[in-house]
Amino acid sequence: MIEPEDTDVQRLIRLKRYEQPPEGFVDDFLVQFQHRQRAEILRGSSIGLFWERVTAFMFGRVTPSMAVAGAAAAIVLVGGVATYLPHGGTVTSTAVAQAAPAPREQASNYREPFSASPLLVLDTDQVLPPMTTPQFAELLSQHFRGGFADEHAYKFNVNGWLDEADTGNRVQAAPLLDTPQNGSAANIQRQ
Amino acid sequence: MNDIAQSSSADEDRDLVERSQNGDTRAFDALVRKYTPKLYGLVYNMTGNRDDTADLLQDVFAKAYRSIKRFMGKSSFYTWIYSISVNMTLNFLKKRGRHVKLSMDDVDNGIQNDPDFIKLTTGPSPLRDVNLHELQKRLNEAMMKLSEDHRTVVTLYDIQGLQHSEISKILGVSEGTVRSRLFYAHRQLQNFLDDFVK
Repeated sequence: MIEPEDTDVQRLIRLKRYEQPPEGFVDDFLVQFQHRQRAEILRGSSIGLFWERVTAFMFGRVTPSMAVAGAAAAIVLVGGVATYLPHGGTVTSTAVAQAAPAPREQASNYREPFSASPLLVLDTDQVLPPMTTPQFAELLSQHFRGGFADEHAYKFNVNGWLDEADTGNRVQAAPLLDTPQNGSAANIQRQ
Repeated sequence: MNDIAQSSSADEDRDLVERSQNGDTRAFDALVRKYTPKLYGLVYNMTGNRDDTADLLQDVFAKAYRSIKRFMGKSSFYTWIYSISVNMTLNFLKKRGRHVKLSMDDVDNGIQNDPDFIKLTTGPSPLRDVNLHELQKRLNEAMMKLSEDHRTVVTLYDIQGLQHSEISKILGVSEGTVRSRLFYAHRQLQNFLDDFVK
């Protein structure tokens, strides 16, 4: 295809090159560009600085194997959440409350991690009768005098009597004071 | 532009580009200062609006600055920056559609001494009695009637004075396509401006 050279139309159109921006346009344009350029540099550097700090913090702490393990853990976590939510919906406070054992029930089921003293085995199924003050005082005094030789063999029954553990013979705990004034001198009366 | 000047300019560009790639903003400023007048003419004649031209040029240089480190030097900086300008302007024109609001620059007084202008306005020419402002308006309107592709090649070839081969590289089309587009563009312009040219 032959392009005719220098036709009148071309000469005419070529005159458009005399259309020029106002004087000082290039200087103003450059100043405007520099402002924009610096703003972009600052914005880029703030992001770069943050990333640099993150990588500097992580450098030396995260080995490739840790990174793989972390990524795997993240995938498992996300997968778990993704599989849970469609079936179970959202986790509500009601669901959490139902999942937790009731405090009262928990308290009644509670057992001490250690066994009770072999000296006094209390039957907690029944309420112990109140012990009289003299009986308690006698027990204490007996204890501090050396105690019962076979005290390990006795235990209180529900009536405040000490039962002989092995024989089942019941001995009355009161009166226990072994004093000359006390006519009923027998500390322990066998029944 | 003769070969020596062209080579010198290319060397200067290569140096400025290298320094820009190493973070020298003043070197990039020099490139902006050098290419702003040329690219202004390109974008202005494609958009027909001064404000759009200034905004687009800011975007062009901002994009060039962001991409300068990826510029490998396979083509000249001149071709590269022109390609960015043309592509961004064509994208802008597609978004703008046909709602063109002409906003014309002043015509330099140097036109009075231009041989083409003298030849066109002397003798029994229809342009003899046409004032400069009217001529400018008619030329701009005629340009805006062209398709974007045709306007681009007319701008690059007739107004900017680039060679077919350079336009071919900038647009990424064959030289034959460039010539074909020019031929049809000129024919349309002849029709639009038939009362000015015989």
